[in-house]
Amino acid sequence: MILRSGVLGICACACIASVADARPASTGFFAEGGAGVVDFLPSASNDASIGPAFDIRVGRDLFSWLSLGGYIAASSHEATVPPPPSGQWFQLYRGGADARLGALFDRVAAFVEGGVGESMISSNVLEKVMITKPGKSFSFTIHGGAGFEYQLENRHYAVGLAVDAFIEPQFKSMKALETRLYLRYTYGGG
Amino acid sequence: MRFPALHAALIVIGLGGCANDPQYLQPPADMEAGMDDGMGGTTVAKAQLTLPIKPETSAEMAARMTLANKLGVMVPYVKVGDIDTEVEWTITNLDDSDGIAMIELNGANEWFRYDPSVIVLDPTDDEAPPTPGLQGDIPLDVPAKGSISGTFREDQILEASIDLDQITRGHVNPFAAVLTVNKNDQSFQPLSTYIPPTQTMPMPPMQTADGPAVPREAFAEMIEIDLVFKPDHHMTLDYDIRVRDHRGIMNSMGLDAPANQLTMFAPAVYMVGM
Repeated sequence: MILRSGVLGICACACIASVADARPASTGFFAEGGAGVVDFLPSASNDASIGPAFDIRVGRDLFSWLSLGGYIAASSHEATVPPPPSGQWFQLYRGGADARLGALFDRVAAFVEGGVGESMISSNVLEKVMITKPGKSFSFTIHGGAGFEYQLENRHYAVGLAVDAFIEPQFKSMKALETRLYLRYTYGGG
Repeated sequence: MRFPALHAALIVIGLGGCANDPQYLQPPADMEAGMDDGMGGTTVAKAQLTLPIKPETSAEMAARMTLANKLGVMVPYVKVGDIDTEVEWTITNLDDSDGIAMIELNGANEWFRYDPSVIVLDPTDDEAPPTPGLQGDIPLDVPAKGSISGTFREDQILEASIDLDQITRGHVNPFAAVLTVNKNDQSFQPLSTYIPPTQTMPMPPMQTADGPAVPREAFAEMIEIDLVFKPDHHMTLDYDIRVRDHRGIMNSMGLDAPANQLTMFAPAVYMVGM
């Protein structure tokens, strides 16, 4: 009798332990919304200041370690070209597709990501310093970076910090760093 | 490499975010003046910059003609409100001593160019004040080897555009047009041609109302910016023109646009008695 009770107790503990150790993160379709800053790297940093950035990203986890997605981002910057003009702002809109490789360590995931897309600049204010060319407001864009993600108690939600570098070949190979904090929601349960 | 769907999405986002994104026009060269002119004075620099405006489409022309018939007055292709223009400038004093500089802003709409230096309102009076420019002509202190910056704001260019239209099409006295605030006017009444006084006719006939009033929908916007730079020491004037295009009539290539993609305006120089 005592032995039976002991076996049942051990089984119950094992059951409880297995629930507690269930995978904390959902995988499947996901959406992310982020905010941060975009800071240009030399030499474009002489002509455009750091500015606020926002982005939305949607995609799907193909595996727990690989996801594919698309993104749209916008940032706003003061043009610091030699005056005139002075005190003028421009916006940089970016969009494209990317892939993310990651690994989950308990509740923290680390990842690297990279992708390609297209950018549009809102005005020709940087034409004075020949970053943009007359009549040209679009550039191919390549980006890559890394980040960390923390899985919240609710397995659908995670918050993350990512840093990406991007280059705009048609804008005089202008380079910048985007740092963003984001919230991720994953629809899948698996 | 192009991604058509993404391209379209970015344009939509861009249009939604900033429908009035400005276009900056950088003139090919700075203006330099204030050197000894050999006659006891200093040199003056003048510059003209015509806005790169796309040719009028047949649909736009038809709509303009319909509006002209309805209003009973000439309607320009580029009207007040189609674009907002601003001129930003920086004066650099190259001299070792402090100086004073003035910038006079004039311009042209698609019919007339206003150049006050060729307009003599009273040829019988040698001491009559010179005909005023549309904007500016304010003495500015420029420190030795220093720079100052400023702006002719959008509302000042709007005022200048309406003054120019009133002076040229409406035969309003330039002093009356420039010294009153007209930027909110909803119409103006054209007058009969101004006849300047002469030795034989010192009291010319008074101007009277002539033709229908011109409503605001038919006010002409300036399509050319003219600057006169008048420093008393050796200085340079660097400027650019910022245009917000509300109608999509500016050529995105700016001053690099090929001639066949631009409207070639040919405004007549306005003279009194025209």
